[in-house]
Amino acid sequence: MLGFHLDYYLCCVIAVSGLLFIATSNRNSSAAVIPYCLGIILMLTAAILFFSTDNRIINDYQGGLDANEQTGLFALSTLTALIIRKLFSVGKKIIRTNSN
Amino acid sequence: MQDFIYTIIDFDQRLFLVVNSKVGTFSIIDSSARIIGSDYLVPVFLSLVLIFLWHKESSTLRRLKTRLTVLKSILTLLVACLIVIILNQILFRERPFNLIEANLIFYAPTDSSFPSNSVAAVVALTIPVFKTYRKIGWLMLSSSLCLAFCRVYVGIHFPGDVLGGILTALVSFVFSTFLMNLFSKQLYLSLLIFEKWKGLKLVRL
Repeated sequence: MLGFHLDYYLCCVIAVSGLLFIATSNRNSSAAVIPYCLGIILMLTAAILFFSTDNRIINDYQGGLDANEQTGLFALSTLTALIIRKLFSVGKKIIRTNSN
Repeated sequence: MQDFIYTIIDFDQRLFLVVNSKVGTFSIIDSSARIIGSDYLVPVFLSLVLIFLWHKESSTLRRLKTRLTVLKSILTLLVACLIVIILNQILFRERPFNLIEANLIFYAPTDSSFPSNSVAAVVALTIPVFKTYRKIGWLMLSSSLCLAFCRVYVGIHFPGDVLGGILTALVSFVFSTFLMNLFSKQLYLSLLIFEKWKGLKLVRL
């Protein structure tokens, strides 16, 4: 797709975003099925997208990621997903306020 | 003593050949083993589970307990990696595909085969959660063991390396438990500050 590092980062952002949907629903003890389904679909999409678009079974010195790069990119993608989630919540609040 | 070690190594190699000889029977199993045994699927899945645990609880007291477990998992992982680095300085074991005729369907790593770094890491992430939350723990443990099996199946580790990785994780768990108990008050305080500090609102759900 866009290069190994960027692919990993983007797929992690999608997967963590999906997980945050599930975590938020679970925390609010919500019985709604949609956030759970959406979360699972996002996580599966991320995994399928990552493994189906290129050969990912490569060594770190041949273009893959070493453990440190993986940790750094995963942390960054988690932070990005949290920011997206926050923006999403703020947007939702603004829309609700305007509609009332 | 030397005979005993040779017997174990011989048994290890035979066990490896039994598992690895199945490569090529079903291409779908081979592809699945390559993906499960890769450096990305299981480690990312386990990290996602830890993020879920971090955000899971709504009551403060329960949240502190879960977050301590997550921190313990991360500490155990760090200690396990440290032990693996030290062990790699002391001993070097060749990869199976360098020693015997193995069916290699993965990339060829160049570092020491013993102990398995990836297995030590994923099991280290799993043990603290398994001890506190059995259901999620079983899920994590089964995926870790899947990774361990796939690493042998694809031809990059002997079963003994995997066992070494699991033992490394167990030792690091004992060590991290000791460290966590030593600094438990400070950790609780840090977690409370994280919970209440408005500057960190962005990283809270």
